[in-house]
Amino acid sequence: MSNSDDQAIQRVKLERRRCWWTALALAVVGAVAMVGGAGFAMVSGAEGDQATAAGVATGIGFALTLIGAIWAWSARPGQSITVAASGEGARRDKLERARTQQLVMLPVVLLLFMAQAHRAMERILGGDHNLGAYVQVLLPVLYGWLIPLIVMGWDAHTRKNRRFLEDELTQLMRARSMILAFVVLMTGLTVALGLGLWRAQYGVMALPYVLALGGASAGLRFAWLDREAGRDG
Amino acid sequence: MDEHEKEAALARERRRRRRYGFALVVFTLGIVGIGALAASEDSADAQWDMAVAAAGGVAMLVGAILAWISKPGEDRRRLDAIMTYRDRVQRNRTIQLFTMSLVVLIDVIMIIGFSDNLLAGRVSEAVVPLLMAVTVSWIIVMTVMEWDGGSRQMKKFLDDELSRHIRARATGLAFIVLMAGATLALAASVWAPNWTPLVLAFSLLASAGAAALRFALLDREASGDGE
Repeated sequence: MSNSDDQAIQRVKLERRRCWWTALALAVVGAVAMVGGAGFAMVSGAEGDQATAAGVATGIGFALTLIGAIWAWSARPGQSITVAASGEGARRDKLERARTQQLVMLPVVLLLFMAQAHRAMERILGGDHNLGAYVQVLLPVLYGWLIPLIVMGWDAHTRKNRRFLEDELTQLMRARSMILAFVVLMTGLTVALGLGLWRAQYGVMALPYVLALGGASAGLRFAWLDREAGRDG
Repeated sequence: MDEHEKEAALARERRRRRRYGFALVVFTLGIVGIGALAASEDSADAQWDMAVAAAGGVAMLVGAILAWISKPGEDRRRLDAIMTYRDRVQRNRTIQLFTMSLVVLIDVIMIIGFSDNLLAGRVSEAVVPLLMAVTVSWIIVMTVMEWDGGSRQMKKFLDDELSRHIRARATGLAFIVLMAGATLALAASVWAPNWTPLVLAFSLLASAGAAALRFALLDREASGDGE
């Protein structure tokens, strides 16, 4: 076994251990939030602002627990390490595939959050200014920001693995998907402005959708182009 | 024209173009000052108004004279003669984008002039600058993307590798600016609803202006002859 194979095994082990503990921590935090939120809602009754916040905490906790559990399963200890799949070339493939999966998953999650944000936005416009509604509106906006950051390669993970994730093809796909996202965003904002001139409420309602669509189109277009480019023949 | 002569002519032309651009900016600022004065109905301080009007008039005059002095001359004609068609078309695009960012500046000032109406919720009285903001920003984006009629006819001269690279970088910047503007507009719509159209129009203009300026500057940087 050569030196570089040793290094590859060490790296995979380290990565797996880190992933395992992160996932466990995430799941624990999520479980605490879920139990705490649910417990609070049961004690204080299902009315008012605090109950809404508790509901949001429960929901987020549930999502975190789920994600943590999936991660922990994929990084569970005691798996065999194949040396061939840990080399540089395989690593690039793996990272690129992970990025593409991420860019498909995030827009899907984002569009799910949109449904929630729509109702929250209605409540805020109705004069119900509570924290839970703000958090619900904020979530799709945050996701809408996260996706372009990944596409542009500005997130911490991509920056760390820049030498794997930054090539000619990526730059081309990034350019094309950012142009689409920009045009979508601009069209959306123009429509929102027009709606706002006609009925101010509709314009405001449209804004989270526009932000989310702008972000989602960047991610989905990138993933689509990546799939097209990866197809053999 | 030999190589040495060409270098000298290029240097002179570069200086002339810088002067010309500066003159246009001064002239625009003069217009903007006087326009802002005309847009504000109630003048609180007559002396201040006089000062602004005088400064605007002087700026317009100085700008016009400077532009006249540094108008395209012999060097430009001779350089044009040896320029390839592609260079000329691409240079026109850069000039167009610089000019459009001046239009963006004018429109921003116009909207600020109308902002009293907007903030008081009388949106219908400020429809014209808002529509202008939308139109100007779309025209700029069309030019950057080369989707307008003129660019599509010239596509084989305009759409080369370098342009694509520059366009990608300009669009990335414009996207971030627009996204930030939209987020700000969302925040405004929750806490201060009357500010929403204002913020939206500004973010459209800012992002289009960023795209135009970034494109033009990168293009100028890329062509090493100082275009």
